[in-house]
Amino acid sequence: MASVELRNVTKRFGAFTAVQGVDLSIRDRELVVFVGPSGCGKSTLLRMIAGLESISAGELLIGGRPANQVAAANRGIAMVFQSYALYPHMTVRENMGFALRMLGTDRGEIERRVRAAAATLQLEGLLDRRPKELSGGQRQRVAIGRAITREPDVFLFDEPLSNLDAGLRAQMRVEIARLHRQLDTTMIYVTHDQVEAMTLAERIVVLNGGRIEQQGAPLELYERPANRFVAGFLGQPRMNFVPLGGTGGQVAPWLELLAPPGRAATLGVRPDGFEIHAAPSAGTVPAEVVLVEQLGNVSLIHLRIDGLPDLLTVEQRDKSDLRSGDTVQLQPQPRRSHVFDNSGARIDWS
Amino acid sequence: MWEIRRFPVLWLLPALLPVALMTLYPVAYALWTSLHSVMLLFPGEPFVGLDNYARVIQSNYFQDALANSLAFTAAAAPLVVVLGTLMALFLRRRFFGVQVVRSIVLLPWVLPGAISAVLWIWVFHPSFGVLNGLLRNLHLIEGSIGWLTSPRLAFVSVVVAHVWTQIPFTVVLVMAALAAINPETLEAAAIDCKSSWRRFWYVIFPEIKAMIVVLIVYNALTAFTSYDLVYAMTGGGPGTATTLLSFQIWRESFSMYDFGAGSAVAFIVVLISAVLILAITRALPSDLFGSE
Repeated sequence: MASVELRNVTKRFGAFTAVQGVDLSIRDRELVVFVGPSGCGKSTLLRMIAGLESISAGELLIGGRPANQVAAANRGIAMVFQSYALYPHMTVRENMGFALRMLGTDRGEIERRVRAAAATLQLEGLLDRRPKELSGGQRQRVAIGRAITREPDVFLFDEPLSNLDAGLRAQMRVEIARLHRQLDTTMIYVTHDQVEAMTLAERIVVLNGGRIEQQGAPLELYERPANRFVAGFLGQPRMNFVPLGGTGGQVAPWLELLAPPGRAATLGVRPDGFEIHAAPSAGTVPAEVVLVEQLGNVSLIHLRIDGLPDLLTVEQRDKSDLRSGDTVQLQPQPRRSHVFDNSGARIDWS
Repeated sequence: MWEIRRFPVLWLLPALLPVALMTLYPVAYALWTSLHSVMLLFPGEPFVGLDNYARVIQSNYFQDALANSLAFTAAAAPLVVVLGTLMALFLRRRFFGVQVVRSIVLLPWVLPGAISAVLWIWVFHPSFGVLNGLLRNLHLIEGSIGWLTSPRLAFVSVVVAHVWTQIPFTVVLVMAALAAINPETLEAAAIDCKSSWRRFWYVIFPEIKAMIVVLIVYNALTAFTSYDLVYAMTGGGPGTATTLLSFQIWRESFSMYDFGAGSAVAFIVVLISAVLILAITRALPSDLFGSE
């Protein structure tokens, strides 16, 4: 178990800067998720911590000790890869015991740890199989088992569930969360999937363009996004953004209702932050129903407000009786509305 | 009615005909020749059974050539594979000018055997050779060493030249095998193994060993049937020091005009090659080609 600290860490590939001056402190036994769109630098950051990528500038400390120049094999880490990266010529048992064998651990101890990990991950019956004889989910479990047997100070996960189908992904997500509680070890998890980030993380680090946009507890980020990027990235379906422009144009009644400060440039409302009324009243704006998606437990209603560039998505509980072409009156709930200035930064107001 | 399965032989004919014409016919003709007395200087081609074989096997020339060919194969094939693999591993690394180095390593591939021979003759030439010049400049020798005139050194020299010409093909195939390995598997190995030797032995080698076996067999055959380079460098000499079996085929056929004997040597080469392949593949573990 160990803390991980990044001080002004930068990674350059030629003229391209993938990670720019990242400062981050990960506590011992914490589960931190790096999340962001493709190319945001999250995997590069993880690979620098793993020692698979050199650090162009800045300092990395693992367990309080400088690690910039320490080889990957000596960092006390274990990594689970997106493609599982199992050794194809070795059995599950050999794969899981390989790192220990390389460390010179005695056979009895290797067998004990492999069996313990196999029991945790329900792999007991598969120990003599080779990777190609396993399903995707089983391979991923072996990859995790291989990391567990090492008993590392820090676990690193690089998009480990991306190659699995949706059902298996949800199941493995739960298993990883359970594993974190059971092993009580520092874990750093990289994903582009914001659902994985929200459900697994104790702390989420949102990255964009090689910089940290915001970090904090999942609900803190969801409820108080620091900027437009974080607001748009977290939450499914994504947040609706309405340009306000001076008097607010078509959505002027909302401005009267919410009364945001004058420098507010964009209004952000999550799909479940709207109220739909049949009759107009103070603070409502008429909207036309374009499409209704019935998902069973919720309905997603796509609406058009004249003069706005994008459709708005509104989430309603249960089944909706609305149909395409209907006109409704839309009103955002003040407590669930966010405003952002021209630069995209959050404006706190109430 | 023109379905493929109705007339399989008919559809295969355009491919089979050239094979039959270019390969099967000459082989069959050579077999026929080896069982007859075919000499350009004597009329008639009487059937002699295995006489040609018996005569050839008993000759000192043949026995020297066989010993040379086996020694040449035993020295050259492993050297090509080991050096080629090391070079392929080296050329996979990212460093400044790697593309240029890759092109240079592949250069011997585009040179015909005879041209390579001329090049190596200049390297090994006793008076004007690069090697002697270098050794003299380093004050390691004073006179000159007869690389191609001393029997033992001539043999070593032709092995060196042969290895040089064969390395590019091995490098390309090993690089292809290395490229087929999942890069994340190599990264997992970097986290699991502290030394690069262990990384190679436990993770990389098992992934490329099928290719290595193919290359050992291929290089054994290439060395065993090598002809042009050695002929152009030494003409089989000094004495019979670098006379290989394929050179012996040429000598019996086109120097002595005894095509029966030449064909007999050729068939002995085929037979030994077959035994070589079998021996190499048998000696290796059976799960090499992933058939476990």
